[in-house]
Amino acid sequence: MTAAELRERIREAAGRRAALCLRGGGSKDFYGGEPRGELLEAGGHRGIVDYDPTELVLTARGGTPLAEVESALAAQDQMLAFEPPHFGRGATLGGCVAAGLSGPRRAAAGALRD
Amino acid sequence: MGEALPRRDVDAARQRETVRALREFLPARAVLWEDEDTRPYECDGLTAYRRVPMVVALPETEAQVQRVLATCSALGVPVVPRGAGTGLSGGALPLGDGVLLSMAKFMRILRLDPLARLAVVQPGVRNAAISEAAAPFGLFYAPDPSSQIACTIGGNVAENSGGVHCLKYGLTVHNVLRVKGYTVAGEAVSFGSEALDAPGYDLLALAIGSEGLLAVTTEVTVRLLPRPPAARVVMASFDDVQKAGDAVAAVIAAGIIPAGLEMMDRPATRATEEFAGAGYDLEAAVILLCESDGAPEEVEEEVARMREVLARAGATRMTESRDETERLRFWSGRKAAFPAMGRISPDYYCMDGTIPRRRLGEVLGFIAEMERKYGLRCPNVFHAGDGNLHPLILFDANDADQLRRTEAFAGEVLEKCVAVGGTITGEHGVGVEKIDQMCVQFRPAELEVFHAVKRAFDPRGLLNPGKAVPTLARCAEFGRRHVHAASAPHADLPRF
Repeated sequence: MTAAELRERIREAAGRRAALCLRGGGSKDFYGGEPRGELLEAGGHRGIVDYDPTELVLTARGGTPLAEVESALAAQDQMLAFEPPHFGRGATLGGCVAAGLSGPRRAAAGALRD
Repeated sequence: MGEALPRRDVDAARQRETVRALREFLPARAVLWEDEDTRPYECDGLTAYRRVPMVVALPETEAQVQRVLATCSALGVPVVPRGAGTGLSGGALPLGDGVLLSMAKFMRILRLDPLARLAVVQPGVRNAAISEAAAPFGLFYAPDPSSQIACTIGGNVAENSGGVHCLKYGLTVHNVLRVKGYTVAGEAVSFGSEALDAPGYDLLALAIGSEGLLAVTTEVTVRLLPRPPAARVVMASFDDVQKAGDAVAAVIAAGIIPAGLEMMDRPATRATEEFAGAGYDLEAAVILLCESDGAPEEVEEEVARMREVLARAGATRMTESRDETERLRFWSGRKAAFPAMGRISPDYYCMDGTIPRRRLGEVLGFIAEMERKYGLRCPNVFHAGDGNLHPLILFDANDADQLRRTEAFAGEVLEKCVAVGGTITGEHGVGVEKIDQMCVQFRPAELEVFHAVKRAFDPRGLLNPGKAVPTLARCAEFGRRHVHAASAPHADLPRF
């Protein structure tokens, strides 16, 4: 799914004033309130856009599986310092950011937002 | 920069009215309006811009701050907040028809909790004073701007200040838990909490680095870290700038996050050596200062790995600090680099831009080209580890043409930073200094979002107006003067 397709879908729903329920891998559906609105599957908008280990920065699309990001980093002896919980195999980077959950290293290494 | 600001045209009636309103609740010593009293506030660390404020207010209590703001709002008088005035982007440049609100009297550390590892301080507390107060508990406040003996935490919050150790420990935004303050209407606001997380949007991150445009800070809760028991610095010489730039990338790629990783070129080491006697290798084209901190065993191992990587990257000479005295001596030259420039030039202009590490060599080559183009010297001293450049353009402010060339030189370097995927500021903020380059960094739609955020806090534009975010009209004018101010490449990538 391209960014343009995703944008078109959102525009179309906004035009109808229809609520959207954003969903990546659905691994955190149990968390927070009851999901409502028309399902917008964003998991198709995926892939690592840019990664240079010497910059300590990785850019990836929202639907990229967290596991894919983590294995790309691990191949270069790097990691996500905030240790995001997955809660299932489908967890995506976008869902990780939306939920804002960090792991036990947060106290020392900082949270997702850091 | 170097704008010829006219001698202020004070509207005497407006001034009398403002002074009278402020004197209703402030003592005489806290309201300054006579020229000899207000002149010391005419500029901050960016001395090329000066403007005497209409009135200076020096409140001593939070209630007074609130009333200064409410009073100015009611009168429609703009307010510029100021800490120690050490900022380098003109963020505290006064307005000739405005009130300069000095927070210098707010100098108390309200609470220091060693178990929760936090300190609650007033905005006028100096950066270094926090670490001094925390030292007996084995703690420190990590962000360490070069001006840390003088600059205040309120100013650090406004500019999202960094420093040598930010590569490992983060900027101000990573080390502050809560900010309290007042909007220009005098409404109390609080962002963040003492916990690691707070409900709602991350407005704390919005407040930090907002350059005094959204609220006036009256209380800051900072995070304290355990002071590392050991630290050692390796000084490595290189005969070529490109090799040194590659060495920086190689250190990071090897999985090492140094506590500090700084670069100085030969003109910079030569200028500082006379002044500080740090023991630098003056034959080297550039030197790197690469520091490791932590437990003694950790430092031992990391330093060995650093030396290995640096040697492989082509270091021609390496010296390691043997003890704390020597370590501080190695850093003394770096920390004294700016004042040392004062010995070799009447004036210097310290720039601040950030680029991807892998483009270091290329951008330094570009700066050397600009030195020839504009006929001005430009030593380089900077935070290489996070790609944060500080070229120092040497000039004589009494020569109007040199000032003009300095301005053009700086503008070209900042635009180069954007072109290679970087940003126009690393830690000094935009202020008035880099406001035109904001038009290069951002598109009109993005700037409009910034203006919308500003309006949400300050609908009438009374708090520090004219700083940080340019009007679209200003950008259009800048675009006409500047043909290459097209949209930035790699617009889809984050700006580091």
